[in-house]
Amino acid sequence: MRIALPIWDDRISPVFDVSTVLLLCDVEDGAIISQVWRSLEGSQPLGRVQTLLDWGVDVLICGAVSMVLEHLLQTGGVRVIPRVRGGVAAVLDAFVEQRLGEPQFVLPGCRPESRRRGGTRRSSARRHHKEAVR
Amino acid sequence: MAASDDSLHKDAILDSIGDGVFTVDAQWRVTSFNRAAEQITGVPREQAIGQLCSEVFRASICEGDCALRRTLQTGRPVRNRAVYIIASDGRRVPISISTAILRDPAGQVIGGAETFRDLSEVDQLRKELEHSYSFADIIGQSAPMQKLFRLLPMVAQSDSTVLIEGASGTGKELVARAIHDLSPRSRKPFVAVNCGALPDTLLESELFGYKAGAFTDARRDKPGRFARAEGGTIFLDELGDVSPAMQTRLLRVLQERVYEPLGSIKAIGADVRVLAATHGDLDQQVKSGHFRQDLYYRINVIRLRLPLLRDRRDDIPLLVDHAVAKFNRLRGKDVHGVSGQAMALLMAYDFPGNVRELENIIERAFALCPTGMIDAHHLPAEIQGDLATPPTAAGSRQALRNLERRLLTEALARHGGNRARAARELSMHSSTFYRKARSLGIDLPATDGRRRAR
Repeated sequence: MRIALPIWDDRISPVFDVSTVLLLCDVEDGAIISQVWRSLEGSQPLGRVQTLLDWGVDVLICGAVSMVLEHLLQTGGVRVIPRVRGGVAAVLDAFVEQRLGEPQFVLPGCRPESRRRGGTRRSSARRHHKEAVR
Repeated sequence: MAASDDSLHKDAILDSIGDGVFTVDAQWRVTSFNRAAEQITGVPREQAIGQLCSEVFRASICEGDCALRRTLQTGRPVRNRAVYIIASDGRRVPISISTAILRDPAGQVIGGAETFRDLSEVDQLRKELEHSYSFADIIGQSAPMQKLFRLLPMVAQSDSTVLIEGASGTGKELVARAIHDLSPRSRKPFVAVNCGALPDTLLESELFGYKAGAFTDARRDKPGRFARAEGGTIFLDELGDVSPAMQTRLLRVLQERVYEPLGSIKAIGADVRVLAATHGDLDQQVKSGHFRQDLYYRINVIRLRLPLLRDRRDDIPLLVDHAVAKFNRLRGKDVHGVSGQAMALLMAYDFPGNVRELENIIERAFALCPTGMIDAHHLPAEIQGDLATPPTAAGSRQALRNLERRLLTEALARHGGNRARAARELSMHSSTFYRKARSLGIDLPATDGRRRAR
C-alpha cells in the first residue's frame, strides 16, 4: 500500500491544497519498506488529484483539505484521512497501529474522519434521503 | 491564573468585534482567540489555545508565505491581504488578514497578532456580479455526478476539444470552467462566448476581432475572444445555434488552428483549447442538415452529457441546502432550512429548468419566508400540486410514498430492471429494495438481471 503524507517542518502540512512537499511511503504488513520525497511545488490544488493518481497513491494522510479536493480524491479512488496533525514519524506509527483517531493526531476543532464522513450539509442530505425511503 | 479586571475587559472588547483576532507567542502557539475567530474557523477557543497557529488557522499562506512571519522579518504590518482558510467542516472561507507585532514594555518582540475578516458575503456578491463561479460550486453526490467527477480530471488533462451536452440550467458553463481549472491551461484565461445570443456578423467580430478600418465603426484594432483566450480555453456555448457560414469559419479554426481578424488577411495562430456546449441533439441537427458533419466530428472528440436534475434527484437536498446557505449570505437572512414536506415536494418535482430553476424557487421562497423554515406553502403553486388543504400527517405520508415510488421506479429504469444495481445506487440492501417495491406496488420485471452473466 502506498501512503502519501504532505509534510512541512517535519509535521503533517496544515493545508493539503497548497502543500509543497509530499512523502510517499510503501507499507507492507505493518512495516514501512520504502520512502521517497516528491515535490508538489507549482501544482494547482485540483491538479493534485491526477498527480497522486499518477504516483499510485492508495491513501492520503493530510491536514486540512478543502471539501472539493477531498471529494475528487475519493471519487478518484484515493482513501483520504484528513484533519490529521502531528510529527511525521508519530503519525506513520499511529497509522500502522490504527491509532490516528487519538486526540493528539486530530487537528484542533475537528473530528476524526472515521466518525464523520463529510460536513454537516452532506449528512443532512443523507438524513433526508434515508427518511424518504424508510 | 486569576484573570484581572483589565484582562476581562480586554476579552470583552475582543469578543465584541466581528473580525477574528488571535495572538501567538514566539513559538507560534496561540495565546488568545476571540469569539469571531471561533465562529469563522469553527475551532472552539479551548481547542485553539496552546496549539500551533498553522494547525488552528489553516490558511492558504501558512506554509508558504505566513503573513505574521513576513511582518516579523520586515517590521512592516500586513494590511487586508486576501487569502482563504479551511474551516473545520472543510469549507474554504475567503478572508482578509492584517497583522501586528506584539512587544513587551522594553520593546522586545514577544509575539504577534492577526486580525481577519470573513469575506464570504463579499465573495458571493462578486461571483454573482461576474458570473465567475468555479468548480467548487458544482454540487452532487448522485451516481451520475460521481461519474462526471471521475471523468473530469482525465478529460481536463487530455487537452482535447470537448462537447458538453445538457439542458438549460444544468451547469454547462460550470463544467467547462472545471475542465479549464483542472487542465494545464488553468493559469491562462478562460473566455466564454454565448454563440446563440449574437447574430452572425457580431459573432464573427466578437470571436476573431477586427483591424481598424475593417468597417465603419472600427476605429481601433480590437482583439477577438480567441485572441483573449490565447494559451487558455475558449467556451463556445449554444454552438448548435450558429449559422452555416459561421460553422465553416469555426471548422477552419479547429482544423488549422489559425484565423483572420475582420479586415485583415494575415492569419493569426490560435493556441486555444475549445470547449463547446449545446442543448443536446447536435447529431440530430447534423442528420437534418443544419449542422456540418465535419465540424461535428471535430467538436465531438469527447462528449460529456450533463444529467437532468430529475435524473439525479438525490442531489436535490444537497442543492437545496446550498441554495439556502447562499441566499442567507446574500440577503443577510436566517432561514434554517426546508421542512420535510417541502423537501418531499421538491424531490418529487420534475424541474424542467433544472438547477437554475431550483435556485429561483428557493430565492422566491426566501421572499415569502422571512425566517425559520421554508414550508410547502412558500413554494410555487405548480410544485404544491393538489395540496390545497393545510398539510396533514396523511398528506405528508402520501407525498413521501409517492416520492419513494418515484425514486425506486426511476432507479430501476436507469439500470434496465436490475434490482441489485438500482438498490446499490439508492444505498439500500437489495432485500430492502424488494420489500419496499412490493409494498409500494411497483412491478418488478421477471428478469432481474442477477442471472445475467457479468
